Amino acid sequence: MEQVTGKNKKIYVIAIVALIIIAGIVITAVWGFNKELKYKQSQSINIYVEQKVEKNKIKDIVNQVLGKNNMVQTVEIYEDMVTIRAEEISEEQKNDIVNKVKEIYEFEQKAEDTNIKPISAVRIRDMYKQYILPFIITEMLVLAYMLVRYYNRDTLKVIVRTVLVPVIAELTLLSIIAITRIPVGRIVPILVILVYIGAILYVVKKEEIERPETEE
Amino acid sequence: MKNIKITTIILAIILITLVAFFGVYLKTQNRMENKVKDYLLGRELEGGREVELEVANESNSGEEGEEKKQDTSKLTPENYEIVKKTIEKRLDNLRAEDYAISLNKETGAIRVELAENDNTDSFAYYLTASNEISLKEKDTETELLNDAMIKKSKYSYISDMEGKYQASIELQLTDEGQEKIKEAAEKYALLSTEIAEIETAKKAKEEAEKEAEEKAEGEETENTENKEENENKEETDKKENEEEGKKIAVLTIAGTEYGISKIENNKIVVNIGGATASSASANNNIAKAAELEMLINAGKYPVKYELANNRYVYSDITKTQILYIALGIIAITLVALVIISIKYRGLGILSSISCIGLISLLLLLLRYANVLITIEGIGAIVVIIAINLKVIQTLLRKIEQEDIINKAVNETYKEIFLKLIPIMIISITFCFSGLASLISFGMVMFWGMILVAIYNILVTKTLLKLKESK
Repeated sequence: MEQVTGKNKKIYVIAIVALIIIAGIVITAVWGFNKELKYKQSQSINIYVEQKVEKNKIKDIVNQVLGKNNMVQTVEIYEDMVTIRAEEISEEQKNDIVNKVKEIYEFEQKAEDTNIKPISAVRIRDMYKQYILPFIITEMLVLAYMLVRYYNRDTLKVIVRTVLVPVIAELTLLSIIAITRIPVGRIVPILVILVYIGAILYVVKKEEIERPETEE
Repeated sequence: MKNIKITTIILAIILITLVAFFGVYLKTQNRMENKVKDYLLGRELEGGREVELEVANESNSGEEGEEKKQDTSKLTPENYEIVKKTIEKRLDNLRAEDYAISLNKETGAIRVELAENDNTDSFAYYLTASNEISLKEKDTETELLNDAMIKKSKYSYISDMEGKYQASIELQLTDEGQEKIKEAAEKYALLSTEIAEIETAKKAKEEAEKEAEEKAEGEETENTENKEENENKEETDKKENEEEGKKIAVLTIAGTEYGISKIENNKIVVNIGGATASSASANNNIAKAAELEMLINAGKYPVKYELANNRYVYSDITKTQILYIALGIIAITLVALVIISIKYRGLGILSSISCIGLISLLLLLLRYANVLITIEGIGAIVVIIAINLKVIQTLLRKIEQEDIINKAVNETYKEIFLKLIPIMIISITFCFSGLASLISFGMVMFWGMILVAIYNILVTKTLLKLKESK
């Protein structure tokens, strides 16, 4: 009876994972990933404030005018310039921001002299392609270790487990990211690494559980 | 006595924790300065260089006339993409660990984000550095060979018996290049030795002519007819010699003239600087040769670009946001430690204190080991804390079951660290990945796992032993 329950649990898990991956593939195909603003096609304005600025004050102004999805960065070591980035900045919003900043700081740059500059998007493959080779090499080394460590097991099973579990885990993660519309950007690599480590530890645990007592 | 030992260890842990979390402030030049080394933060957390490249305008790209002008027919998205890929190759060859590139296919504008370090300025320079190669006739500027005829390059250096180093670069030619160089070799003096000989002969001739002229001026008695005859003779001789002698061709790489030392079937060898025994000059020449190799092998920009912006931009992630993340991690860890303390009481409390000491020591170690902290590095710190919590929990469970600390420690290490070998493999491989974020993760994991293994034997085990032997 217990075995049946265990099998059922496994089937449920496989079904849920498969559903998540299929949904993820569909959503990615239709809408793609939701990229973080830093990597999206966007627009920016530069304001030379001529004195060290308090980023939080500028951020508050920008939040009021452009909404929360924006980036405020100070420029150069003196931090006397700010660059503001958002998906879209209208002339009106630009003027509004510059004038509001002028209320706090005294500087020469006028709203009409401030240009809205387009910023091109970074492609997802450009964002992450450098990670591919290190991950492949790492996986090969881990696989080699697993084959040596569990040399007296079913080799094919060890290979399939060590390769498939991380792949399925990563696909599930990426599908969840696509479904939940979590912005793809700076946070994704660490999530991928953590899931990879979790998957490898799961494989090791599985192999250890199945290890015959005589081996120990 | 045992109580004193426990108290001493706890006091030491508190001290390390205070230093790690709050620093050591001493008065320096009328202000308080934290004497504890700061964290080395990555591009995403601290900020980095933002370099913007724009397609060069016709008007300001043509410093040296028509040839330097932008070919407008080449301003296509495909060519912009080639430039972007070439930039990537250049940065990869320069081993830039952390960069991001975006391309505006409409305008061709390229934006490169680089991590700020000692190499950033040179990386920024190489983004627009020329790799143009040409072999031209010295006086007429007739092009004999261009960079389209170069397949790839390789730099090398040799030392002679006198200990002099000669750096050189080998340019491998395409089939067309091989034919062109053969043709050029027949008509032109290409090798630096040939050119030197011709120039020395020219100089000698000029000097001889000068001397002859001076002599002629001195001889007042000589008649005009003879003089005219002599002059005519000299002019004819000169013309004949020039026709017989080869013309000089000059090789230019990235705007600098270099001497060709050897021409073989499919390659030409170019000397970079002269042979020198000075290690500084030799290193400079070798570095220059390596730089040219990198630039040539990365490929050519089909479109001319110019630097539009090169500035340092702070990260949009503020220190307050990082602090909130840190506080979140600390809060979760404290909750876990409180649970352990409640579950295992005395031993649990001591293990929890020991765990805090380990985290503090890890934070100090990362600063003094110059580990770059990126978002991935912060993730690795969380993993290390989780591993240590697991070690403590397993250790306490084993002590509860077996009551012998040494045995419990051995079994815990056997149970946990054997399973962590693949994680150690992953961490070490990441350390050599050449990618700042993975290096950061790998380094934090590497130092963290070593610390967890050593610290728990030295501190946690000692504390638990002292407590149990009461």
